[in-house]
Amino acid sequence: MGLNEEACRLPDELRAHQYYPVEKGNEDSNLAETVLVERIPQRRRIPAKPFENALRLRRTIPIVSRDPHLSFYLSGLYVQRLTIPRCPLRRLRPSHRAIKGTTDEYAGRLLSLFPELADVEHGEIERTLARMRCKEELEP
Amino acid sequence: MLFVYQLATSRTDRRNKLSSQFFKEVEGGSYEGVITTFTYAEYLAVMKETLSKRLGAQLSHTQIETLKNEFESFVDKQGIEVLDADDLSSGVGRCEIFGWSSQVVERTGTVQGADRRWRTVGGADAIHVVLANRAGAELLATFDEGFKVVNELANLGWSLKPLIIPEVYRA
Repeated sequence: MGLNEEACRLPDELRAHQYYPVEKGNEDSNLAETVLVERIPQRRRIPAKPFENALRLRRTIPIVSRDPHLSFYLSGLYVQRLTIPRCPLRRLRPSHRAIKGTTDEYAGRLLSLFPELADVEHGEIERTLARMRCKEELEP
Repeated sequence: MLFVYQLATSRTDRRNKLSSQFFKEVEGGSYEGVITTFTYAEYLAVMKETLSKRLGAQLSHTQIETLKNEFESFVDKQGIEVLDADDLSSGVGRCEIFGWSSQVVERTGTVQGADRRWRTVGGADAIHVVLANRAGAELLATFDEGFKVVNELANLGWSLKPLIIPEVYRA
């Protein structure tokens, strides 16, 4: 009996699905699955029984947690001094030499992009900022 | 908020002139500029509200992107270092920013400004102060005279000092 013939006699649930990527007429891959299934020994079912601690864990003396004084934890015997090196700060933009003329280029620059800001005075900005910083005494 | 005055007020505005003087010194290398992502967030919040009031409408995604891009472009060309506020506000596995901000508020007094008003640093101001100190900044540039109380933090061993723009530059 050829392998293909044996495969053809597999129960339907073990046969390759029609979309399973195997060559047409070659279902050898299913044989491996079949053998694997057959060789796995069926485990004997163990009836459930209530869990019980091992004998040496069953104590008559209640377990009392030891709560040492705080100084014990800080003592050299208990902990070693651990020094965590200070990590360098993450610079989202590093400092570098400025491009000459930037200050003049950007002075009032938003006014050209938003003409509505043309008559904004510093007093209005100051009041907005003060309100945002909860300095209510500056409110008019 | 130097960035808002620099970018969003007219060149004839007094604060624009003063902030320009300061930024020219940064440009010339007299100061090394450092900001955090918190500075950026504050700029964007102020600009969104100011512009939205002027337009009488909610800002579009494009308009917000323009505000962001202009800020980033300016910071980049100006050579200003940008640090992550999250990095500066965290210790080893623990956020420490609010504890230090409370210390800043508790250990500083009040100052009387040129307009005779009494000022001090508030909650958000204190966060700026802590971030600036952690960034290793020596000066905190601001228009707000309330930051003068930062001088009192020397008793914490901090070397951070205020740079009150209207007192250093004249329009």
